[in-house]
Amino acid sequence: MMRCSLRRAWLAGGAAALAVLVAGAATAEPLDLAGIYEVQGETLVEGQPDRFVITGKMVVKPKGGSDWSTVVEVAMRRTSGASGPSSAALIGTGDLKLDGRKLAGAIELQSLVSEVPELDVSMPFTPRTAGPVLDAKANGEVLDDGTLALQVRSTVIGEGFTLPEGRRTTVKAKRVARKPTELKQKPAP
Amino acid sequence: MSRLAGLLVLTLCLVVLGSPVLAAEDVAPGAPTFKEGDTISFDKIEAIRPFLPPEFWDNRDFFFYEGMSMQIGPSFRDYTPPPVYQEATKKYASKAKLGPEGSLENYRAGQPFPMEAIDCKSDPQAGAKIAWNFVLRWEGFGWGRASFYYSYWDRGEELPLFYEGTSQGTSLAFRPEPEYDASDGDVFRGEKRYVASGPSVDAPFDARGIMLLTYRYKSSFGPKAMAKNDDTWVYVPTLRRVRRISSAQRTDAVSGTDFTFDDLFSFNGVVPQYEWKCVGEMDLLAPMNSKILGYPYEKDRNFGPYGLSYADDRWELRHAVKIRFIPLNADHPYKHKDIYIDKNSMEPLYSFAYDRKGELWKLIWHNHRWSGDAPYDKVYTGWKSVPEPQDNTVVSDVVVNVQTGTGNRIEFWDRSLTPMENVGKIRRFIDVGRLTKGR
Repeated sequence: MMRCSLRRAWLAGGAAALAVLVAGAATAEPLDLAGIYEVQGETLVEGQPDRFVITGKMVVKPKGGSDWSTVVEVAMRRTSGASGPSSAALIGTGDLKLDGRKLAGAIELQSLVSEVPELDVSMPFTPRTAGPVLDAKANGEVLDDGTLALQVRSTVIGEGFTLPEGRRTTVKAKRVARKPTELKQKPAP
Repeated sequence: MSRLAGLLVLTLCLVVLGSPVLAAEDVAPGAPTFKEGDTISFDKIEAIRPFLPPEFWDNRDFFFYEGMSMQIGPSFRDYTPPPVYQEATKKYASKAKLGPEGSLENYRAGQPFPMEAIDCKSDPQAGAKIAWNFVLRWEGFGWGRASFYYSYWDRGEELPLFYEGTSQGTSLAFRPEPEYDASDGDVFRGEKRYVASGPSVDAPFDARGIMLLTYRYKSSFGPKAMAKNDDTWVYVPTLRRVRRISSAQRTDAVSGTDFTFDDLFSFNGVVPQYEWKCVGEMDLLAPMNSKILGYPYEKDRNFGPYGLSYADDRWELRHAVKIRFIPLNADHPYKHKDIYIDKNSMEPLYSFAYDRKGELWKLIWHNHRWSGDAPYDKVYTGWKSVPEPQDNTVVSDVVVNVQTGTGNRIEFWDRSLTPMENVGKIRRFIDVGRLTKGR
């Protein structure tokens, strides 16, 4: 009887040790970032009233190991101030490196602006034109809920518009799907 | 002897190993296992796989779904354009020729390069010739009026954004009708434009009244350096003003949608801005003569769970040709685009746009209708030089951004290619002043 309970205790201890080992291995495993993210953010300018709101999508795909590629399609709209375009679409591809929960990446964003400045860049049928390229560097982290929180610094290259110095861009990207064919869940009535 | 035997064994091994590869690349899909009158349900879609572009099949989750009911229509039905276009093709067959940079010279009317004379495999200019035939396909000299509805989709959810209105267009040159012989095909003598078109937005309320008018010029047929850019005028109701825009290129997204201007109808651009190749010929299934109506006739048509499918309709087997463009503009968003065209009607079937990294980005496809079948025969009425018009034409475009899962659907099921009935109406339509007077 005694021998039997000892064996049971030994087995339980072994299982617990194994569980700790498995849990340890799980935490050491790199995070899986792949998916489609909804992006929301803003650009503020130090000492200026200018504010741009950023909304759109980012696709993150695995490149191998801790390297990821990104596809970004966002719109930037000025909600206060007078600098830069009133609205612009930003489309580009880039890379993201994951170190633990820390993120660092770069992306080249082609801007597109409405050829009728008074019309929003998303207004239908209004031709848009290519503006400057934004060469952006991003740093940030993966939050506990999987959201990517990024601070972005960009350099404007080319003609079309300028953006004021001293701007600070922060974005949050929340994963909404693992793949493009994942249907959105309909909200309960 | 033993060396010879060894070589023989090695050769046999290579043949055995090599044959599946050859089979995959060089052998046609064989006879279809479906026939006219069959219904293809979701559990039977494997049967149609050999007759779909591989890129479409790879993304079939967007289009095929439980409950779908694809009806198989007639194979290779004749959808040739009316006699007026065919006669012009014969009459001017030897006149048109390719110029520098894939430009088109001496074009007068009809199909510039008769399709039956183009050899996709051996003619290095076949791609450019087919591209011109596509751009100058029978379009009835413009269209009197079409009602359109744009909808926006994100992984199966219809976004609270839409645009509704009407669109019109007219050919101003290259007309084969006898009344334009004296002016060499021009509607107005000495005409520099060849087409004028533009939509007018009716809804939603905050976009109501936006009107556009675009001219495309004959010089866009010439080499890149000589081509005059399109001119567009936009009436903005909130400003109560008309703004003029000279579009350097039309490769940008159509205003918040996944389409670029040049994506409409799979290709709506300027041929000499691209390098063209003919990739090959094949038989494909496509929704070619819609049986189930969409906007403006039916607003509740089933487009599948993603809102981007025509699976629930009649599909037909067609002889197709695949051409590829490679943009000459370095800042073009696409690395290349493959376009599948119906050889008989020259209507677009499918196209696939690749991003600068070479990854599939956008999938575009279309639904069509044949003017000879009800209810379209009521919409498409004849006119003086074309008493019995006939055509197969696009009545809906769908684009899917396969990277993000977003997409757009444009419906214009009442599109009629009956042109504006007289020169007076054309003159009023192409007058920029109409934009402000119209409201």
